[in-house]
Amino acid sequence: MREGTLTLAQAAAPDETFDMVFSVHHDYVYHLARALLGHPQDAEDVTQEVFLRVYKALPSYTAERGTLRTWLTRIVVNSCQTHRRRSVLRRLWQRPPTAGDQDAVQDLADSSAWGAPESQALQAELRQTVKTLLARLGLEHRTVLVLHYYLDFSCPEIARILDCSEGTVYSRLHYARRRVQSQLASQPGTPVER
Amino acid sequence: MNCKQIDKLKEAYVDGLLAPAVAAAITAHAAGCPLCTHQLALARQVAGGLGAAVKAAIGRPAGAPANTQALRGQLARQRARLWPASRRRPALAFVIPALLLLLTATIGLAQYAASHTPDEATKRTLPVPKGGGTEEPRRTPTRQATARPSATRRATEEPRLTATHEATHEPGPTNTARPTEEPRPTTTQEATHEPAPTNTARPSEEPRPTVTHEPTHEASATPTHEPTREASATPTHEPTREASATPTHEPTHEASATPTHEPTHEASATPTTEPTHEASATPTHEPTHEPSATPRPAPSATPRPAPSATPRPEPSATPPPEPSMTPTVAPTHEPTATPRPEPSATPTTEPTQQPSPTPHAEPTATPHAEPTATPTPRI
Repeated sequence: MREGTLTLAQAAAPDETFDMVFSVHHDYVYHLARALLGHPQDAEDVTQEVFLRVYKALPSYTAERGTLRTWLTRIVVNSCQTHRRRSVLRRLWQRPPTAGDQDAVQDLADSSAWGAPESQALQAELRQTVKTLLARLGLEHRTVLVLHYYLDFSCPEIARILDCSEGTVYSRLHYARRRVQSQLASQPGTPVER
Repeated sequence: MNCKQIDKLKEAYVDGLLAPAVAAAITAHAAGCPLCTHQLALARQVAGGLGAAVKAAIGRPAGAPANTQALRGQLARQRARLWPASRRRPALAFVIPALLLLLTATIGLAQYAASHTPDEATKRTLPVPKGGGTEEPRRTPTRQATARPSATRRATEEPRLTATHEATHEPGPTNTARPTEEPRPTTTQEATHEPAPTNTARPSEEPRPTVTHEPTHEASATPTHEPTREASATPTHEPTREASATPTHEPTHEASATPTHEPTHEASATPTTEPTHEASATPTHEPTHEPSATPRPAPSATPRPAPSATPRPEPSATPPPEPSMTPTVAPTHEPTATPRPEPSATPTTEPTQQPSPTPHAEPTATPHAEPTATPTPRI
């Protein structure tokens, strides 16, 4: 769905426009929330909250706010931050992903990036490091990491979504990468140390 | 450029975000430092493989959860709740201030009633023995005018007529109305007697109204009617009344004369509210009638001798008796008697003698009494 057509459609029939947005972007919203929060139940709650916000704010959506995907991403990020603030205990608990979830993630992972056999060890180490790191990173750094490396948003787009400067986005990205690199360097079996 | 600086800038160096001079300095340092070379190589590998690693760690958005339909249903319910909630807000915004206003109004009324009821009671009770102030009669007349029935009107009008007669007759010495003044002293006696019972038994409001009505009506009605009476009713009228009409009947005769003279007063005094007040007014008057019954014979006794003595000389010689009458009775009794006796006399006589004396009976009585009275003195 394009933004220009959406503005015309939402003016004609808001409910139909919302149903269309929901059917098209529901998976995206859910997976983004799950990537940011790391918990399926929290992701479902945030997805519901996001679409409620979308239903309220959809009549006021304009193309000036960016693409519909950018707009939805901003709503998801803000909803995740609100969800984290509300559930203080849940944030302290930080339920780690279950083994089944990790297996599913590995099954769905795209391993084409690590085609070289020598890199297979680094790929496995890096994948495991990223998993643990994503669970330990704060929501701000995790959000930038997910938006840039998982959703392929550019840094200017991330800066627009998060309503911050590009330098802040780069800083957060570099921090996450440094954490990953330091994590890999601290492990004795990393290919780099070899 | 040292190793620590290169360790901080290696990500920016890999991304090509550094200035060319800084990037060249890092390259020169890394060429002579194996550790920095190793760190830069690792940074390039992480930057290149992190995307795939993150995607692998998080997983592709392969599919939405199976409960998409359930989520749609929940969203539909919550969407349905959104509109009623927004509509309820304005209702609450109106209801809450309305309740506050009602509460404040009720509290204010309660306080007003609590603060003013005792004051009014004290005001009403206090002025009664003194004869009433100007303010009290104003309040009471309305109540009496509305409260008293036709009988009460007669009573009130009768005293008015007498009072007006007195006031008008006083300047005119020829009027024989002073014989009527004789009963007035009796009325004054009644008035004096009445306040005592009223203060104890009555709420003390009833006597006042009659007093107040009279001055107002008198001012308007008496000047027109009285001269006619004076012209037509010579001093002979009064003695005849007194002679023919017993003390109990006298007030009724006076009342009968009044309706003819003051039709306007009756019409104005007969509001719709009267019947409702009558029930309340009559019981209050009845106890007063009993004590006032004693003074009635007294006034009746006094006028009988007086008229017999005074009127008879009057017809024969009108001028001489008049001056004698006016100074003795009229000036002294009229001002004092008019306010007090009227209220007391009206209720006492009418309900007892004529509980159902409609205005029809009164006018009939008046013409009969007056014409019959006039020939007798002539004889």
